[in-house]
Amino acid sequence: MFSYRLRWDLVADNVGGLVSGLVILLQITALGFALAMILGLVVAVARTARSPLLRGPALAYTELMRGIPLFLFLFLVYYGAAQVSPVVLSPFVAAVLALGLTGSGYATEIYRGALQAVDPGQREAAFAMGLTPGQAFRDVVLPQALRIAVPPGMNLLVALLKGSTFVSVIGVADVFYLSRIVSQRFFAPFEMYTVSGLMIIAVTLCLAGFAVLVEKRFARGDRTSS
Amino acid sequence: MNLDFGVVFSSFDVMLRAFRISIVVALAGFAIALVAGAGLALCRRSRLRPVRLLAFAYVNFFRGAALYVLIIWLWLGLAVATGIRIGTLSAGILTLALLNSAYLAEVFRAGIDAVDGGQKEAALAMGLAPGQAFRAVVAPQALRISLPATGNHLVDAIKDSAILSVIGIPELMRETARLAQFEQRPFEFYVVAAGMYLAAVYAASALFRFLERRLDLDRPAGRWSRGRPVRSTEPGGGRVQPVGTALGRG
Repeated sequence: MFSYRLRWDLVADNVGGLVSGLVILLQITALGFALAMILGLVVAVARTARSPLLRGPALAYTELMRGIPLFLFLFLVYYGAAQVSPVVLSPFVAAVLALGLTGSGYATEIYRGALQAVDPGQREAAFAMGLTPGQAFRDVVLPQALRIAVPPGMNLLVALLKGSTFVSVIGVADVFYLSRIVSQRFFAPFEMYTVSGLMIIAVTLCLAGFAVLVEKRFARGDRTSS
Repeated sequence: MNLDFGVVFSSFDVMLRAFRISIVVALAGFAIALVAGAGLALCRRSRLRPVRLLAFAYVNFFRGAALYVLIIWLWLGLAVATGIRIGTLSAGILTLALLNSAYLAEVFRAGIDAVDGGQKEAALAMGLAPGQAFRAVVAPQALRISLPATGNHLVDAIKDSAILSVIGIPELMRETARLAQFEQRPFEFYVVAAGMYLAAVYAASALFRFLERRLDLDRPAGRWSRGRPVRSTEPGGGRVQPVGTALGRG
């Protein structure tokens, strides 16, 4: 079946590099996710605002971020930013920005759904108790909305991890970057890509399992609190 | 910052040709996935345990795999190791089909499960054979329920097709990257390409919203006069979202 001699020893030689490449991917995913969740909350507040001057741009922003392929957006951020501004981004920062900005479009929709899912009676009750609109949002509506946002938020995290797999195309030194280098130098594409692929799938499965745990934990909290 | 979109428009015909390849690849992969996904959904409901287990394993493996990882492994790993040579175009279509069939299998399965059990019982009570009951009563309703989610996956397949540029298919992303580098105008080229993807994505979601209205037999076409549309628990309320629900699914 195999027309060339397998060199698994090359994989063994590069275990350290593969692991640190994986850590870079996890860092990009985590930072991108944090950016997406923070930015998404800000845009979601604008998206649910009463003023059309806030709602319009917020809607346009989410449509744009969700309609452009992340793969293309990565190139736009990395090469485009260097062309139109004096700022030269490192591949790592460009990857975090692309993931975070694209992710924020999805995070906005998650927050919006969650904010709208909170019973309006909660807000009215908060007003009736004399809370200001800001207080009612911060202390009553937001905590409940965040709880609702957790399961779809975890799905977004898994999606961002999958999206982070191709950041090597702009030169981030991740597992696939290393695989390419090693394959080009010693010709072991099957071995290197098999191992890096399995590493990614293992992490994805762990994260998906973790997501299920978090969802269960939040479901339990919901029952005790109500 | 001096932008020059004139350069982009002088190679616009090249980009349009590449855009057509993107759409053909995405649609071909998705069409295969529709058939395979329906088959897989049926396998997951099979009476034979091994068939169920195999379908379960297939669906969960490919829903967990990232498209980039899969295409790189198939193209650079497996194909090189085994000496199998297939064209980039077929490899791209095949990979999209593999992934989307797993997603669609779940969509169709959920659609079948969402049909009221009483429908099947009523069909059997009226003397239909189990196969007839499924074909004539359950499947059409399941298909209608599955429509919005199917539309979202088509939108994602179009966006995912950009990843296929890594194996060298001369589709929109690939050609844009080549031109951007050659003309030293990355910003302009990527912005125009982004606009093309947005147009395709909006066309796909408009098509599915149209289908959804047409197939909504409870109501006169084009109007929402009686009652409210059924909403699923999915984000977006089970309607086709203009730009899909998943990101970097691949």
